Amino acid sequence: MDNKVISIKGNQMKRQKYKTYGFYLSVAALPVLQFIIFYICVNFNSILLSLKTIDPYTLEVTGINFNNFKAIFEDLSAEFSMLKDPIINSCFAFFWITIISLPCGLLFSYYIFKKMPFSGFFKVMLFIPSIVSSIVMTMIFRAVVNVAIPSWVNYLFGIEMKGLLTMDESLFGMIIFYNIWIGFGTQILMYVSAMSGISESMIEASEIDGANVWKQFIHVIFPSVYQTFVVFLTVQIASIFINQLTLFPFYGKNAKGLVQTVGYYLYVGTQTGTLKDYPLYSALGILATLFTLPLVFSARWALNKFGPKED
Amino acid sequence: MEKNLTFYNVKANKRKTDKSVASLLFKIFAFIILFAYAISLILPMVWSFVVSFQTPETYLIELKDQFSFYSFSQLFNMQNYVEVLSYFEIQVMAGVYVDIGGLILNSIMYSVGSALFQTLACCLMAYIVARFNFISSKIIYTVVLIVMVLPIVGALPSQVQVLDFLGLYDTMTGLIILSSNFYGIHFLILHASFKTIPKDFNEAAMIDGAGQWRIMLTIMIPLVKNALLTIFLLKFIAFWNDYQTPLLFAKSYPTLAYGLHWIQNGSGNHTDINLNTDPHKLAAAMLIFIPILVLFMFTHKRLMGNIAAGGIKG
Repeated sequence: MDNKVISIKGNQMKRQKYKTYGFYLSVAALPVLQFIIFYICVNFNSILLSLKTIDPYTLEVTGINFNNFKAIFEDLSAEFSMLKDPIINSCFAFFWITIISLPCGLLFSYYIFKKMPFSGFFKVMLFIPSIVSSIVMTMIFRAVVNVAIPSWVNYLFGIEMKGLLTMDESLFGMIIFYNIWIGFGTQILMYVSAMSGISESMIEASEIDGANVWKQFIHVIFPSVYQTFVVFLTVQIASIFINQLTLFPFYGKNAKGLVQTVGYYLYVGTQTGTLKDYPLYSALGILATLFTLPLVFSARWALNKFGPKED
Repeated sequence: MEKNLTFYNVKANKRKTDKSVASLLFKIFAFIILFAYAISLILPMVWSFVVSFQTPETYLIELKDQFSFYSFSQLFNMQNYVEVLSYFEIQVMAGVYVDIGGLILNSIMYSVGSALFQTLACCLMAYIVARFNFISSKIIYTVVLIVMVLPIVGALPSQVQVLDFLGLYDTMTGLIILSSNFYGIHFLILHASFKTIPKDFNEAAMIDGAGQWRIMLTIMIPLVKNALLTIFLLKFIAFWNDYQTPLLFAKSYPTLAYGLHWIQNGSGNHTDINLNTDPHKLAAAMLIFIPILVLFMFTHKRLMGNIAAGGIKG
């Protein structure tokens, strides 16, 4: 009798277990399939593509070799290289954007977290560029910088001035400025969120000890949000060669060589190119990934090892 | 007495923290920068808004002779908006044009469809990974973390090829399927939300005879509906503003943002009306900007609050 009860119970549990597995599989099936096709297969195909040589006229694969990688290295060592400028610009842009926007983002978040005057208003203002289309923002920015500012300067000071986005000397600087200008939204939200997770008693203890806002920021706030900072810096490093610097909304397919980045070069190449061009872009993408990958992981390791500890 | 003294000391120290020169300097310094930032954002937007109502002729005259920003004389002259709405169209192939109605429809289909399916995919995967302690759950979670830091560069050509192979290239369905991935920061936020719900909820529901689907749909998902709605709104805004994905993968389905890109580059004009002027361009920009601004005004507390509540840590 007892054995029969146990066996029925066992069967019921087994059935329940299978039902749970069935539920799990049916929920996960489509998202996992999407991931397999559009992440794993796409990236695998990217590797295959980078090894192919395609005939420009018949569009047939004529060989599997490393010619595309070779072509990239040859271009880099040539006098009039197509890729040197995008690579240098990507690194410069990463450097300036990181060095200005990360500390500013932290300080602005601290201001908002401390509920200093108009902090709510500033939080909204800093977030607004994140919800506005980059096409709209660049259109407004371009009209102001190329038309309105020269006209205002002329009106107020009588000085003739060209549009800042039309002069080669100011072009890259303005693009970097624009990217910093619109890029605070997510940072602020995440930092303020991380700061609001710091225990009240810790902040009060630092205030009781007489620490001013700077000391409180350096010794209490920054170590507490350090992990969020590491995430942001890691993401910035990971996107060195993905960042298009919003060049496409500014210039469409015709950005000048002196501002092009690798991200922009690849996007425009794919958008305007045909099958015969894809292997070269894929090879460039793979080389960029291989270069960034150790950079990301070693930066993360160093930041965690040598950075401030929360305790 | 001694206790009172300590209390006063603590209070005095706290006041010192608030009023020290360094604190004051920080407050003034940060305020000036933030104020300048806000002005640098508001002024161009107001200027663009004003210019979007001016006739191209007045605009050029004012730029030469006056301080254009102060000219509100033509505010609410809707001519530019009417012309953009009436005459703007995009050529998608020989002899085939998409007018503003088509652009709006494509924008709605792309942003609602992609936001809905991406949020759904995120929610379903976050739910099973957070609530079922299987090895596969751990693998999926690790994969999401790896994908987030893995810098894949230049997969676009391959994406085009794969979509083409599946017969989904240049289709709205393909565009939505491509966007419906589950990995990313929102998966982590929803995962954290599902993880905080006590296990007792599941057990009580199961004792009452509820199946897994019922538990998920009628108990668990309603518990995280605020976070879900916020994520949906954020994604909707992102897809509404996205022009690069439709431009690359579905050229026959141009969206409003895509159309604006055309206007900005002086295209999209197939009539005698010249839309290639700054006032017309800015009027078109306002047509995309204003709905999002209105949506943001009504939802900014939700958008900026709930997502922060989930924030990234560690």
